Amino acid sequence: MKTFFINLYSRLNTFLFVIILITVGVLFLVLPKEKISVDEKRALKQFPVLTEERLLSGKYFEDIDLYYSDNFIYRNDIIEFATEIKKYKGIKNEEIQYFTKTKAIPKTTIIKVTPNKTDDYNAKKGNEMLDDSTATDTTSEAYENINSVIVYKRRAIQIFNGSRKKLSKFAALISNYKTALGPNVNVYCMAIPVGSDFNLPNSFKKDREKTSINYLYSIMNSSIKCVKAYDELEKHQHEYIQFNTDHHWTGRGAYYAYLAFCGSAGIEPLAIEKFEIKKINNFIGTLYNFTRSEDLKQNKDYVEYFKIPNATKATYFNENLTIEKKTKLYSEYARGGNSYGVFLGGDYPMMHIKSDVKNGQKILIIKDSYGNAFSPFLCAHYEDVYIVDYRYLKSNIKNIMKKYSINNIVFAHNVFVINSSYTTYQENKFLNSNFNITPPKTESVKIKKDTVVKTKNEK
Amino acid sequence: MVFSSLFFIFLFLPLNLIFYFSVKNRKIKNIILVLFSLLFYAWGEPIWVGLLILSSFIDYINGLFIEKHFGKPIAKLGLYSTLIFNLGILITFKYSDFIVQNVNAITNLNFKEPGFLMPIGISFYAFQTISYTIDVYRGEVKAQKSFLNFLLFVSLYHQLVAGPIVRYSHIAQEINERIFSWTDFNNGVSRFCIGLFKKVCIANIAGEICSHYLSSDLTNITVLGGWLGIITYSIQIYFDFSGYSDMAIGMGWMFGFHYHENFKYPYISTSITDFWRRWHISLGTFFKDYVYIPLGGNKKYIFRNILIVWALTGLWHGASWNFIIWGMYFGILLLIEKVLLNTILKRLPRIITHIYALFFIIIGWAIFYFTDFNQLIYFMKLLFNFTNQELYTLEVENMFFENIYWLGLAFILCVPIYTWFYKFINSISTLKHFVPLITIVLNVFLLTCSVILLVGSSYNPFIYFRF
Repeated sequence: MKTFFINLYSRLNTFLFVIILITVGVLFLVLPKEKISVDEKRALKQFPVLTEERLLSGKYFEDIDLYYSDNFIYRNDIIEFATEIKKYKGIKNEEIQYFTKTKAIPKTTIIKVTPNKTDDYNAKKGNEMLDDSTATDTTSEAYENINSVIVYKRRAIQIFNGSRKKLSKFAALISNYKTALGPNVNVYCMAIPVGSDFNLPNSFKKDREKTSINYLYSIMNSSIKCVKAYDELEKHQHEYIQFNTDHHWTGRGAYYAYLAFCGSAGIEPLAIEKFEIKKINNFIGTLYNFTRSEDLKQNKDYVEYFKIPNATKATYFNENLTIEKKTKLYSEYARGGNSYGVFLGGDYPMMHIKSDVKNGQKILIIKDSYGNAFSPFLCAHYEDVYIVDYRYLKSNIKNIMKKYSINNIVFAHNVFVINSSYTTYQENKFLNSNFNITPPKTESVKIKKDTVVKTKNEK
Repeated sequence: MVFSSLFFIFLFLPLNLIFYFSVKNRKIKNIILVLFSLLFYAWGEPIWVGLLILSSFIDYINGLFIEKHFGKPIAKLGLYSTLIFNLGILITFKYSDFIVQNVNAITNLNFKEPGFLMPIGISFYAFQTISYTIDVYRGEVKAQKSFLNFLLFVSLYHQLVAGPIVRYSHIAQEINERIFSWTDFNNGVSRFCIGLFKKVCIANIAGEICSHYLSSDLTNITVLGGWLGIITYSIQIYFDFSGYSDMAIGMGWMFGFHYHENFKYPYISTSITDFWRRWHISLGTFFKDYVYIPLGGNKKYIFRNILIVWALTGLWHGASWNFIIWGMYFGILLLIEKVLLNTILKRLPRIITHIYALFFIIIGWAIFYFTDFNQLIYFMKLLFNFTNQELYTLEVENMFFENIYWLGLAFILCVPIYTWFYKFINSISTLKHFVPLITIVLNVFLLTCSVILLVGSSYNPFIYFRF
């Protein structure tokens, strides 16, 4: 009996190891799997479909690996625990915390924050985007300049670095647009700061955004109207123009950029009292998910949106403009982590807003998601506003401009997007590729408000 | 597949263990190991698993051929055909692009680069089979009669993709008759856990810090940022590689194989000569036994021999000039030590020689890291403050302090702390009985930490896509 225990004792190491391995393995098979991760705003890898091509390229096995790690037992809790463990790597600076992007982000489906996700068009679009993101290396380009986020005074700030080479390319791109569209079209360029100049601690080099934007404007062709959004935002930098926990700017920030735009365009802007200002509370944004900083969690945001006094009719298009469907300028049912989606309801390849301003003025906005908060303001001054998302459209912009006889175009991009070669690549394509546009069939589809997808982030 | 993946740890390995230990027959055990090994390899290289089997088959036949004609001139035929085949696939898959680039550069011609993707582990298994055939030719080992057994030697997944380069003679006997021992299995478990911890908790984290500095735009990093980058790279490369070897050796023990050690705490070296006796030992001995000594070794043309061996060692690490330079850099340092420094080094205090060795090792890793020559030169200037970069920023300071305990741990794990620790508790009679218990607690801790961080690293929030 005694030897039995001695044996057991000396073999416990082995037994325990094997038991742990097998138990976890079995639990993995038994426990239910989730489809999406709300925190990460992405679909979790599903078990891959076996095809000959995938098998031979090794993609099939790679996907099984990803499936396994994405669906690992108690993954969310373990991730939280991992963040906890990593805190003990050293001494945290209480005031300033660094978070660095270290890995290339794998290409997987993105989850749209658009509320009307049950709509089958969106489901289709989701699939197309999947193909899109696997076909070209869009993801790595769009954020290649971003290295780190710091949390300072309970606010997440992205550290920005510009590149003169990329700015020159962007300036050349805008010039190409001007040449292609002719002298009768006003071309505006609005470079939007992401707030790092305003919010970084003083120990940092604080003028990188300013330097970048000034450089861009200085090399810009003189026929381009450069919107001085930076200066206007700088004046109001102590107001709530940038979220604490999200990488976007607020509706108020966009309002000041709108003032700057009106200055460039020679329009009388609407005073702040003219808007109906509404709020969505309890917004915790993307930078919290990136950093998982407790400070940020304690410093929730609210999404403030300024409703213009005009009546509008909005529609959105699919990427090659063959389908047009109704939507709204503000998706007021956006909640939780998706709250920024209140502006335009998310990122559509193209939107058209018809407002009750009867002045015949038309404008096209090429934007990234920063443009979502900005675009609605222009509907108070232009009869037709076309909003194009540079990532998703697959159509020729020159043709669009001609077809709808649009004589104003504005590039509304934040500094990261301007500093990305993917942007210039993509927007050159809009100018030079021959996509054919066929007249859209208008379908009236009821968008059920009550089917807002609850992506469990309100739990 | 890699050892440090959840799929491997919680599915592949336990399944392999269950199948393996549920049969008694040695032959079936070997078949199971071969099947699992081929699956393991096919996981990353579904097509090239064919090449692996073909390569093994050719070497197997050549081994038999050489033994049949042992001592006769015709036996050379078998040797040459193995060399041609193995070096041939190595050159085709690993070096063809590099050769074409250089030919184009020298001759101004414009050949198309073949653009082969290199099959994983080819550098390791090609060398293993070469060493086998040469050993048979030299009569140092008996040729393996069974193809299954030979395939087991080549494809055994523990060492297939990242070494150590196992010599046939080391495990020849164990292929046919392995003895299961609880002690071995216990030690194997511990070794595996240590290796996994080194890989996941040290190397991966070092890699994050390193790539933050070294793979960003170099003109943006500061002097101390550069040093932090290259030091963490030195940590990463050692823990990554030695962690992998630890896991291989540990799994070998679980299944009854005893591979030779591949690393012996290289960062405690006191000279470059010492370093290369401790770093990637299986590669060093391979070049010593099959290149250096046949060339004449210490006896004649020693300078030529050393430079050839080190150029080849460099080239083995990758098809790019910087690896050759890296190899030559060490070759020259070794020569200098041999001729001049060794006598001086012996008289110096240990701390000085230690700093000397580490300094040149770390500079070596910079040569190893940058495949682009211009980047390397700029980086060297940066390290020694010949650029106009600031010395450091708050960001570097923060990065340093945020990882200071972890850095301390990494430094401690570079010395034989484990051995010292066990010596210490074994020397105290009251603690002695608790050794297995301490081991268990430690292993569970290492395994848990590693798994948590592995799962944590699958956390990939999608933020910037939506810009």
